Amino acid sequence: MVSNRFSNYLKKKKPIIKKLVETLGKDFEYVSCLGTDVKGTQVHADRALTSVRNSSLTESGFVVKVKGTDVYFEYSINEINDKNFDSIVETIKKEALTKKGLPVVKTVDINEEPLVKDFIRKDTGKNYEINEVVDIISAFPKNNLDDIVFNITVAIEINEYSKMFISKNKELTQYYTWTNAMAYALARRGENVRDAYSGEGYATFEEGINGIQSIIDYAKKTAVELLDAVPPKPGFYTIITDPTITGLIVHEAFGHGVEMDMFVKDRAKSLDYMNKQVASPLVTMHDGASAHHSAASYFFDDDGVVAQDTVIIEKGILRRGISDMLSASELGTKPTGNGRRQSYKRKAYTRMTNTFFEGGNTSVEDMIKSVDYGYMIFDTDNGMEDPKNWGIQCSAAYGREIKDGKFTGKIVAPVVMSGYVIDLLESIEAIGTNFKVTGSGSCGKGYKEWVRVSDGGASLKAKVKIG
Amino acid sequence: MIKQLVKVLNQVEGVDDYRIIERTEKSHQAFFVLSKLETTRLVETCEYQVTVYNRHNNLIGSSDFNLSHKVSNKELEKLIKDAVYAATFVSNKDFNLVNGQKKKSFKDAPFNDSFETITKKVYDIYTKYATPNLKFNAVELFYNELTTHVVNSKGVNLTKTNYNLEIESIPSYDGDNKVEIYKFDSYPVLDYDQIESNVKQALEDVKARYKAVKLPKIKKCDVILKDNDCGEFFESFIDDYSYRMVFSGATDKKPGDMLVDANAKTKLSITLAPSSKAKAFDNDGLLLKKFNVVDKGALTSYYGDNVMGQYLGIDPSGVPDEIQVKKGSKSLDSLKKGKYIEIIALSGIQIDVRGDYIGGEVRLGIYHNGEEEIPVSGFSFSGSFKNALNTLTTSKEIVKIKGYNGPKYLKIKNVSVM
Repeated sequence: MVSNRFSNYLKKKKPIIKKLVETLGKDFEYVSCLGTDVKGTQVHADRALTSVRNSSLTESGFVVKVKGTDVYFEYSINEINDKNFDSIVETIKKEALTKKGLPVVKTVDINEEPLVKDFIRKDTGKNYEINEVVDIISAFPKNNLDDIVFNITVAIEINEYSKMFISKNKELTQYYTWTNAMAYALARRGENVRDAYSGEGYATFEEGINGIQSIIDYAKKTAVELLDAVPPKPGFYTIITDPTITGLIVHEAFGHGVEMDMFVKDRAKSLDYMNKQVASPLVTMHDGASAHHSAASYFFDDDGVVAQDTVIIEKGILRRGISDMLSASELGTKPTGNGRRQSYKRKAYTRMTNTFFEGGNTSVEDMIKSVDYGYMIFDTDNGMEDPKNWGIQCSAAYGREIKDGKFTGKIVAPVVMSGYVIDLLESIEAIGTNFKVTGSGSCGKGYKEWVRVSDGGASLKAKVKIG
Repeated sequence: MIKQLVKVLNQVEGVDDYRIIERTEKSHQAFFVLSKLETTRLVETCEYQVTVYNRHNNLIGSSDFNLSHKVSNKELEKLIKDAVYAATFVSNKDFNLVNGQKKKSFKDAPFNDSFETITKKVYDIYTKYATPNLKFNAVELFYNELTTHVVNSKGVNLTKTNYNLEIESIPSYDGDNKVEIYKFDSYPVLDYDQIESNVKQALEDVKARYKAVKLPKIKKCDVILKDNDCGEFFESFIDDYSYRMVFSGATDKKPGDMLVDANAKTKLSITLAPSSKAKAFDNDGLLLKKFNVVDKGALTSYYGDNVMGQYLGIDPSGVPDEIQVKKGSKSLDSLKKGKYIEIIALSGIQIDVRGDYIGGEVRLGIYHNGEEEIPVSGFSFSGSFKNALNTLTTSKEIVKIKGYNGPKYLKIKNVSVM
């Protein structure tokens, strides 16, 4: 199922892309072309249906970027060949050299360090044949149903990313893979039906195959437990987060606010808090494609900037944000390798990659023992950013009630946390040792521009509003 | 390329049926930062999704591949053979592809103005009411033309062309503190008056957020939801009645069963329909028409795609893109009685029908304490979805937005706020 090699198609296109950059380079100070060829296969099954299909990330195309007369211009196309070469050049010149007749942002130069390099990270696990995978996946639902759990959906997906970035100063290629697996269980008791989702990301497809049963077990157990869940009574509670909820808080509550294209647009409250305390001194926060090996671990971003590990919060003090190439140029800072596109058809924005709080030194058991009354919160559902006003909305699948330092067995669901970011981050009393980054999610900017991300950390003990 | 695809698909052994979806996209995009143009983009692409079906032992398997660029017949043959190979290992209950009748094309009216003109006019509207304190810090424009062509081995040959203008904008107010609100609007027809009206409302909303204070200490209150939040409410409500969910066993409800309590304040009527004449068919090639899902509070029919419909033994409805809800009899003014909070902006409405939950973090609400209107922010509301369903009142004012055509407001009773 896995080719384990850089795209032959892009390899063949390299000479014509270089010619395009050279040709346009005569008219434009800055020219780059990003070629993407993502091949993804998903095998999906429930109790009645199995399917083999392309993953939603599958795509192949190019985006050419030039610094035009007034503003930067990008042209997204899925074919570059000798026949349409001249018309591509003509279209770009026409669009980029035309005065817009509108107030424009003063275009800044994009300064690129010269670099020529090929990066590759192969899937080092067993290379499965499609028939093996179909057999394995289609057997899981049937083998895991019982009197209460009446349907299970299982899916595994591998994506092979080939990207090529060519500009006047750079000639880069990268190939890497990532595997995601998920399970969704439906449980019934009488008329009461509940569902639960579980997902994980894996460095190899083999790890994904081997991990599915534990994902199914978790989804089943959760769906059954949720049959007895009740909504929590709205209020302020001491909570302990599981690592996915820590990740949700890191990502939604704070991460979006340090995306520096938000600084350019005067959309980030965090700009006023640079070098000030924004969290408990226990907190150190990272983001970066090279900060952790997970779903967003590329070698260079969609602007051709090499991956980095950015320390955003150091011991509670906000130190720096993350940026794409254009935002960094406009702000006069160095880009951090966070320029990402949903696809070659969309603009690059500053986006998070692998985002997490460093682990601490308190055991989760000790954290639980220290809670008089509260909840341990599990499993990310969704969240929404509010970069300018630092409101929080983080939704978790469920919580376990804690009373006098022990779980009572009572489950509450769903758990929607809200409040003010700084209040939550400053309330962190302890950070656990159970550090984990989960690479199975996607993140939008506003309500669009979806990219794969990972996030996590260790359990936090904090105070938050639920309801 | 469709001719080449059909020719090679017909030649490869093991292709018992096929479906091709061709998507041709043209999108002009403009990005403004602090009222100045920063970037422009043009997207011109044509992509193919090809699904091959293989029948074996009275069962059927399928697999697909994408094409984004020209390939030789030999390369295409290999792609098809690989897909057939994968499909032979998939063994699902057999079904039929949609039968086509005759070649048909559907097209929405294109916008009269060029993107250059649209950009300038929209820019003027977005800056017309700006002041040093009150402005849009970011505006993104996407003018999209999408042509979808579905061809299958049973004679389906349908084409539709749809247009829309999408605008993401961030109205902001700078004073002693700075606030913003997120707005995303989609326009299937070019209506500058509607854009201007939305711009004015966005600026009013962000001004209100600037003035907003903490919600007084009340524990319970009625809330009025509007626009997208109403759409999401009804979408969540009917989610369990899709063929897929029915087939999975997620619901026991059958057509004729009541979905709301006998004493529910409003007996909802919900239909699914294409949002425009050109949204005439779905990806299976099923021609779409308007049909009832809920009538006077009772389930009338399930809905879904060709395959799941056949599995349930139902003539498949297809999946139209718009939820239509019958308007109520009360005006907004009559909904505004007593104490209530009109919710203008949420972080995102949270609805868990199975968990019987509705709620969300409120970025801007207008609290009416019976005497005056107070903009409020920084609180959340939560309650029982079932209670919301049984106590809701829908407005007679309607709204047509992406995916939803129905009451602009709905009032739900007695939710918790904090």
